[in-house]
Amino acid sequence: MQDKANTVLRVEGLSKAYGNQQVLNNLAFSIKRAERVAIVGPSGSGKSTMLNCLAGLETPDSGRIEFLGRDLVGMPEAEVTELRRGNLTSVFQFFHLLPTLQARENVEFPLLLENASRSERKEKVGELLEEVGLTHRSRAWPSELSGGEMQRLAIARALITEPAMILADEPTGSLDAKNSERILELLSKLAERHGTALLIVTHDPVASADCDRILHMLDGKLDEGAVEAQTS
Amino acid sequence: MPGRHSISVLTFWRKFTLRHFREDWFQTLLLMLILGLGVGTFLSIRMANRAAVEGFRLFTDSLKGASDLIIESQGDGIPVSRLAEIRDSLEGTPANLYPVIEVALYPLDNDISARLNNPSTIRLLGLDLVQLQSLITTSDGDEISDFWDMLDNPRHLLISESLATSLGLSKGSQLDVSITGKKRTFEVTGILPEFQDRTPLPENLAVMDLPALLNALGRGSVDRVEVLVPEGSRKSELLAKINDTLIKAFDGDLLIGSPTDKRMEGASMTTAFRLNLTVLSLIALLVGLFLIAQTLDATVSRRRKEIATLRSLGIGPREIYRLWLSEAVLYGLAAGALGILVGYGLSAFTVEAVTTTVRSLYKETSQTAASINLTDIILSFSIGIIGSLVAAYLPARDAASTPPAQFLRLGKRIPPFPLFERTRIAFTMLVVGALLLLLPPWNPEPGTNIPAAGYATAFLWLTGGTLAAAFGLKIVGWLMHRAGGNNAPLLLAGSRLAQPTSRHQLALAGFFVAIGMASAMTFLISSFEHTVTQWLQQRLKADLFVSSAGFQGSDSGPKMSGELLDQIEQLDEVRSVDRFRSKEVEYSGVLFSLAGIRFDLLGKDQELLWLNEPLPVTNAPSSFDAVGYANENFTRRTGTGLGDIIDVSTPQGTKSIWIGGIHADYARDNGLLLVDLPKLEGWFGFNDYETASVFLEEGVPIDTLQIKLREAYPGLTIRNNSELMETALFIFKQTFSVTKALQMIGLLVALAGLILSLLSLLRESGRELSLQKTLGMNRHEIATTTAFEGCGVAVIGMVSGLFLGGMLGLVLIYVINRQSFGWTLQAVYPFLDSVLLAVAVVLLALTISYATGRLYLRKWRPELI
Amino acid sequence: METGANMSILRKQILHFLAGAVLLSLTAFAEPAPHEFTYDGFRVPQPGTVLEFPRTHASHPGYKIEWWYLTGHLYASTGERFGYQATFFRNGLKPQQEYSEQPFNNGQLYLTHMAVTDVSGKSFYFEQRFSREGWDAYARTDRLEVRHGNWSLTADPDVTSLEMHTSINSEVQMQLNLKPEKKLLRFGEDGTSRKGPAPEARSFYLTFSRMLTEGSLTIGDQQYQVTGSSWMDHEIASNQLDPNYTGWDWIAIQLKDGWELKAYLLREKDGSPSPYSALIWIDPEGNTSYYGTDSFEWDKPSYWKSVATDASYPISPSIRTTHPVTNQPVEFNFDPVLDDQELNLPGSTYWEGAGRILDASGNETGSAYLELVGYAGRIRGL
Repeated sequence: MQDKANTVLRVEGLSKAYGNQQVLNNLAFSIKRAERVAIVGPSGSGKSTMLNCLAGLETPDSGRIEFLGRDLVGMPEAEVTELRRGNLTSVFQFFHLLPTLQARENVEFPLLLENASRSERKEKVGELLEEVGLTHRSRAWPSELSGGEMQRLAIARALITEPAMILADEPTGSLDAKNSERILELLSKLAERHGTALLIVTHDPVASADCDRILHMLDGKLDEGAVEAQTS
Repeated sequence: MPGRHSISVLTFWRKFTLRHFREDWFQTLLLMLILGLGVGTFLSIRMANRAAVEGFRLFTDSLKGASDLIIESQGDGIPVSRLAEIRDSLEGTPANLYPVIEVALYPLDNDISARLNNPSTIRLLGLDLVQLQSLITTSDGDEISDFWDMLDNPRHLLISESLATSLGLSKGSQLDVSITGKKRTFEVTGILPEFQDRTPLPENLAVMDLPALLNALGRGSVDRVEVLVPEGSRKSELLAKINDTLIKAFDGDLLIGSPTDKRMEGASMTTAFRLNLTVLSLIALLVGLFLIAQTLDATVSRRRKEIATLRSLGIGPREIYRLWLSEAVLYGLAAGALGILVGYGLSAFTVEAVTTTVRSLYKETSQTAASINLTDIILSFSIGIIGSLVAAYLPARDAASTPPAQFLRLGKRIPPFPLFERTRIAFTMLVVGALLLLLPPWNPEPGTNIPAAGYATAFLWLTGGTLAAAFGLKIVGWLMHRAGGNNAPLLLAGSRLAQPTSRHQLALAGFFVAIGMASAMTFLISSFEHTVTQWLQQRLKADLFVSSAGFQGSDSGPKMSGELLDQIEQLDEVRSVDRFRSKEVEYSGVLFSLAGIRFDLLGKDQELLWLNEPLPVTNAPSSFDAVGYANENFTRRTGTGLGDIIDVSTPQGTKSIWIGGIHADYARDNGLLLVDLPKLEGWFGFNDYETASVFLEEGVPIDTLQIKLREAYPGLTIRNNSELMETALFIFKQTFSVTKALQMIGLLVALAGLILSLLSLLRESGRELSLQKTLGMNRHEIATTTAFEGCGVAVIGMVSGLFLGGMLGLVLIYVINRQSFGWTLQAVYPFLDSVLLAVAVVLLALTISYATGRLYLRKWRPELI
Repeated sequence: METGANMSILRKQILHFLAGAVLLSLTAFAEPAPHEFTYDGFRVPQPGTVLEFPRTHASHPGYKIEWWYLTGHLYASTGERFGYQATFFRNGLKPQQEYSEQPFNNGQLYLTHMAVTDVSGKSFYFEQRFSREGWDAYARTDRLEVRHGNWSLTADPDVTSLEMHTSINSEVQMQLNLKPEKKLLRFGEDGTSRKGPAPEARSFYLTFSRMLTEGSLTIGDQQYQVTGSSWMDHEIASNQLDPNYTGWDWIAIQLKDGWELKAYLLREKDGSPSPYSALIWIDPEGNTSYYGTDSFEWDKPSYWKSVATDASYPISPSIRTTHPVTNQPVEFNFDPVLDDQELNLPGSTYWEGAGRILDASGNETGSAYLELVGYAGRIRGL
């Protein structure tokens, strides 16, 4: 009971095939509140497909994806959108900032969709920009930011709605080693501070260093034997 | 590593271009259609223009081949007794001389005249049928005795097969017609085959043997003598000699000219008119070019990754540039080919419209079919290719500036074309355009004014306006962005417009130009209609108007004899009768209409609309032959003014006319100079008239007299005030039929362009739309964003286009029309039309862009982000 | 359109002209006195009529048919050789006495053929015109003046010198002065030339068999000063045509020794030569000797086939007869200067051209004009 209440995400029997190719093969795992989990695997192991399924952007062939106790599979589009908007946000390899909006507007954007009040938006944007260390760049255009700055901005945007979980897809894939380290550290730290579960999908074993758990993925299967519990 | 990587154009086309064509076949097809419509409209107008000029060909040409020279008299025809003199003057030089009479006749049977095609008169040619051997091969078998019997039959009439078909006449049919206002009965004695040596006969053609027609008309003179020099290696030498001989022998007596002169005369009369048309036809083309630019630009952005990959494989920017231009050539070829098809299809319609216009504006012409020639084909492809290359220039440069893949920073917005950022250039162009309006018109030959500066202004304003509108887009985007502080779609749409991509700018530019040109045309047309209606109301003061049946307003139409009008004037109910007759004469190289009306009625029964009140006769110089009242075109075309004296040559010698007043007259754009009718009668020796105005005694019921006159004179058309008003307005509507058609095409292209632009613009924002989805925007919110974005472009294009239209309209009204036609119009802005257009455009834009946003997500794939 | 039934009436008219004109000139047999007028009111040439000169050289609109027919051989100072044919026909539809001077007279029609052969240029030029009498085509009744457009034939009052202006399209222009070198011949023993068994089938037939010819000839951009010799017939009649002929071969020979010779072969429907065929010798003083068909032979050793019309013409005839003075056999072999001298005119195609006359041993003894009619399909009107 206690365990169930603490579970943010529970995946059971998740499978997906493209034609003859079995991309996801009967995946099962769960993530608890504020838990940081890394899924590591080489290119083509099915990581991205899994992430898309978790974000409700793709529908699996079979299995359950329980997010906060509700199955995403078969959930109406509008409700999935509602989730993406607030409780289940994403951080991407290529940052995906809205290029025509200033830094602070990018961070503020999810709140706008939630119809938050102007004062609330202002306060939260200020706090988060400070947390990611971009207060001084709040009026910059995305094109004026460095890769690390862009990813920090994207993290701020992902956190602003205080989501239950952030899905991070190769968050350091476009960054150099030094920036990668800082971003992972920031992500990990902020997730912890905000009590947000974090699922990092990466092919880079280094990126999983700060995580509570690492799942290895190969050919659409999670290698159960490789599951390790780590303490930070 | 290989020294040099290159990619063949064919490989590029196969691997990239064609694949994209296949994937986006609908959009590609729509683009091709618009381009084709652009080139095609231009082409069809060109063909129609040519047909209009060709239409000035002589009616006789189709029967005996084109003439080389034409001999006409300055007065009322060439007496038959002088024909031998003309032959003798040529001595032994080979030349065939064809005396010709050309008159109009009008069937009096209402059933029959209702079946006539436009124009409602039949052209009757009097020709020597014995001389024209080929003509006598009529479509039914005949015997020698039939032929000579026919020539001896004073009522014989040969009609064209098309006329026989449309009127339901056959050999032996009797036909009541009006010639010179008198009723005559003819007997159809033969049907001319539709083709003479593969040349189609003009519609509504009838032929009589010349002596019989001379008898029927009671005339002793022919209208002209056509000279045909037989074919052969010495033809041009002989033609020059004959021309010289005739001019030497008959200078100052007969007019010697070539049909080319005649055609040129027609051509120069319509130069301004045709130039206007050509410029208008460029609307569609211009919009088409913006669309090419836009499409290529969109493909650049869509294929950015591919280009970057090519770049990283070692393909140089120069090569990328060339490859993109080669793709533009592909578009150009397609546009050219399609343009020829579309042009040919449209030409049937435009030729009709232009001929109708020319007929009502200038003179009777024969309808000629549109034909496409090699120049057209070359031109079509050239326009397509050159235009596409021009349009592709910016996108190709953009493509070439793509860095190799490893340096491409994904997620960054590609900056727009730098040209569109140059607001200073924009405003300089607008100002220079305005200053150009101060220049006088270009005057390539006497009587032809081409408002070159006006056109230059239009061009500068279009281009400068395009850049200025792009600037406007940023401002509006910024305002929307500001206003969207609490609204995500508005904020996002505003921010996109404030930082537009090249596609935004091109979509806007195309739409701006199309709306601007189309609304300028609407402005001009509404002003014209208003002005003419007002003028007609002022001018049509008489109670009844009389003309020969079938008279259509052109000076070559049928005339009515003076005796009939004398009889009408004798009636007790009639107070006075004014008569109108015009003669085409020349002054300093300009042909204009010298016309007579009764000056003694002016200020009493008859009115003129004065632009300059008549000068007191005390101001007149000491010696002149007549006072003349000129219309505006006359003064513009001849460069004369109030108080000037001009000399014209008449059969009675040179006469000097003192311009004592200037009046408004919109009926004749080749210039009209009115003199007192008795003077004109004296100078030219005629007793037949084009129209007459009948003023009744007080209290006489108009209807009763109208019925009485109709019964008494079946060969005359008797109209009352309101009937004539209707007829006149109908003619003026015809006058603008081409312009109206172009206006419609312009609007059509504008709207189709808008749809295409928005589709392309929004679809190319796919990455951003996908991102919006992952950020948790629902379909409605995303569609609202695209709707805001699309409407933003449409509204700016609309508003700035309408503004441009207003300004261009003023230039058309006050500069271009005044300079080329010599008409001062009252500017009347079509507010209702503009509002309707604006509402329609905004609704359309809203629908399209909302639907695009919504439908786009259906095709959404996760890989897109 | 070109079917027999629909054929242009004008073409028929032209054929009447051609057939009438040539047949008329061919025959001369004595018969009882004819009527004074034909059934349609035209005059019939009466035997023994005293002709008034120079009036007779002019036009006679009281008679139905009349023509002035010239052929000639011309030589440029630079050595080029040419042949020409100029034929002015008048056909009366309504009899009248004098030139009407109306600008358009439906009662008289004019048909004119012009042809020029350029031997060195290997070219043959021809043109046909058809008009009613009036301002552009007429023949005066008081003196010789015939005009058709820019073509004209005029003479001084005594007809000692004639002027002719002709052209063919915009290729050829020719201006000739012609002076009769022999006295005017009037054919027929009673002053009328007979053409058939009917007593009214007779004509007044006048010929200048040799005329010194000088002038200028322009072909294309080449202008030549030419001299040479011409032959002119003027014939006046009102007769109807004999329907039994399918065509004729006609030749006018000018010999270097001052003699001329005219011969014709009328072809009957069965292909045999008609007994009306004849050969006439003209001596240097202008005296004539008439030979019947039994006194000469006309052989057709070879034919030339026209590419344009597919018709085959016997363009190299060989004529054998005896000399009226020496009674020796003589042979005239016609050698055309150009094979293609066919006047390809719709419905009335014939061959008429210049040639050399060669004797039995191949020596050139003179020049001639040969006319071959009825070889290009059926001649209408016959």
